Amino acid sequence: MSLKKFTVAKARALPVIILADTSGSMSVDGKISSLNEAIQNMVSTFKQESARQAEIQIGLITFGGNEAEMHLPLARAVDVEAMQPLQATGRTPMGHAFELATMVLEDKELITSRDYRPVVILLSDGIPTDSWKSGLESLCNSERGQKASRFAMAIGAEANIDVLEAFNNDLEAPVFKAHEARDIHRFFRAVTMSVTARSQSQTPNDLTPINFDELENSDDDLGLDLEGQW
Amino acid sequence: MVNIQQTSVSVIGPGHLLNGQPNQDAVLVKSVPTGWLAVVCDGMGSKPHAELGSKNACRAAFNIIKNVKFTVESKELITLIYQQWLSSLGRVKANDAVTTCLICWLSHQGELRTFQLGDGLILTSQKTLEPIDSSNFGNITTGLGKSKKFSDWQVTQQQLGKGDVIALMTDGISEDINQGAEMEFVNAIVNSIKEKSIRQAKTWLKNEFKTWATPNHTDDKSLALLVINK
Repeated sequence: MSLKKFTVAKARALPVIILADTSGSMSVDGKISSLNEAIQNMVSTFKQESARQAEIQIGLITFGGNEAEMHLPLARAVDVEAMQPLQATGRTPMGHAFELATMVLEDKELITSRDYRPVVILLSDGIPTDSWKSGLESLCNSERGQKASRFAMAIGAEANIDVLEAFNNDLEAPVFKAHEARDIHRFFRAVTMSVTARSQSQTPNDLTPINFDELENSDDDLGLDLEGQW
Repeated sequence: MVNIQQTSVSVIGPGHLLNGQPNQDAVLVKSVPTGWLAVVCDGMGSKPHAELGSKNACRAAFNIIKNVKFTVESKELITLIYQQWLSSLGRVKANDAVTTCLICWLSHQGELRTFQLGDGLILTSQKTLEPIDSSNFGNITTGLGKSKKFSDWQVTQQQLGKGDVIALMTDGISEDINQGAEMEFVNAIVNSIKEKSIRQAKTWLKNEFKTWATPNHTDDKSLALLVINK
């Protein structure tokens, strides 16, 4: 008699979702080619690291032209083969990208409750051209969106810092500001290192300090004599 | 007087072995004047004194429950156990020793009281499982040293009879069991060990947990099992 038939045959995953600005302005100063290269490098590193503990998944949502699209559906990094290079064109439908990201995060078959806290990365060089507020609100207020670790990068001086700051929820890693194309590589390297370190750690969910919830009513208080033990 | 067959096992996870860390789970099954007590605790891996937290939680539950009536009010009992646990930590901060706490207390009349703070699973032949909170992600949990709210505890009471089974397990096991197959899993263990001596049963279970089939599993695995004979 073996217990193997009762156990889940799939490793716990650490999902990473990238929201990448592919609007027309990304075509200048080598930004889109740097972005393509940086994402390819990230995928390669994740492929190598996934064999160890947590299994890293990667998904890519692009926003350029009239609407955002799922350029790379969320999948195990080891299964990602060739990625079509991103093309920069048109407007900046960032709000739609937030909506797509929320859909992915809330898909409980795609990201199960036993998977680790996802990482969502936003990078943009411009100002959203659609109604981004409702999309960002639904992402940040969704049950799972608020639990995800969200990082943002501003590319160049034209990026809308307010939107990126509202998206970012990592207090220890403020919005990263890229002044030139090579900074895109630096940002992706930092995120890649952070994700791979998490995937190898005993506690892949730990990224931010734990905050104690404030007690909402006194009836619920256990009345502990804490004597400075917290 | 209630008569039970019991076994308990705790196995260090491959992740802790790899990093030279101790098993941070603790398990206890003991008779008390009012019946039997089983406790399973999972120290939070990111905390420096997780091992101490889980061991002391088992002891705190035993030290309190052996001296109180079975009818003690739930909130009072939890507060007593929590306070005892805090005292036992000495100079160690509660936040550095966070641990889940799963308690099953069986009376001589076959009445079972359960108390659960944080991840893991308690199940019996008579109790259907609560649905898993699928908006959460794996390993995001609460515990002693983190929660100060009575409402964070799941408290149940039920009448059990001859042949009924009680199982407590840490999330290193429960998170990797196919959803819906939990009771089948427990019954398979009961059937496998009923013809074995206590030592043989423990050896077999330890081997099953050490050769766990879920890919890339890292967690410690602990189980306490009680079968009511009469």
